[in-house]
Amino acid sequence: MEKKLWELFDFQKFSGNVRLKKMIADTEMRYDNMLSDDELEWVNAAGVLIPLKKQEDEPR
Amino acid sequence: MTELCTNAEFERVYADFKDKVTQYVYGRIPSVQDAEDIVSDVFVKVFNGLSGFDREKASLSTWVYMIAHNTVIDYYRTTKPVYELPDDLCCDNNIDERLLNNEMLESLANALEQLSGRERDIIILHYYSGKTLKSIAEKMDISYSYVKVLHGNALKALHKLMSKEYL
Repeated sequence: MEKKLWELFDFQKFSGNVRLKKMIADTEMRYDNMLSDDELEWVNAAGVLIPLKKQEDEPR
Repeated sequence: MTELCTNAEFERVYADFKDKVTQYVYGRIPSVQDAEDIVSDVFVKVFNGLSGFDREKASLSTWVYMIAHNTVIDYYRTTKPVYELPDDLCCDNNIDERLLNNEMLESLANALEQLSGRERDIIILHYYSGKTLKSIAEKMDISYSYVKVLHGNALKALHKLMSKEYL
């Protein structure tokens, strides 16, 4: 079941079914801009997300 | 003249699918250099196969998707890289391309509409956006255990709703 879902959502990225596109946009709008705790680790004091390259360069 | 038509059509296909193929391949190949080569290979195959492509058998998006998928599988089979095959790719169980069409996406949309809002969000964030269940739990501000329960319930419901048509 999970593999079929990966396949269908992968195919959606190529095909762009309108109804799914709307559902996905709705979900991503509500959640995707929110950073998880893991991702927050890479936000500096000014609230700016530190790029990966810079993370590697700077001592933590 | 035929060659000119094919070249022009290829340019259109390349413009339409370049970003999609790139996103698909880069999400599955850890080496940037190998990923670049694979994207290039995909479009060489598209160019070579375009004149013989039968639109009655499959849509263009299904055809290009299958080429990208199979090229990534071939990479793992032939180069035997040090990287593990991603979970969503499986050599033993090839995709049935006859089932990859807009009707199946409509069926998935119908099934997703039957889920609760939270279950639907979990399925989309995990299988489309590629978020881990742990990360989704943090985003939703609910426990990881509860997300796993909702995920399991959603899979059971989708299996039941879609089993007659696809699974």
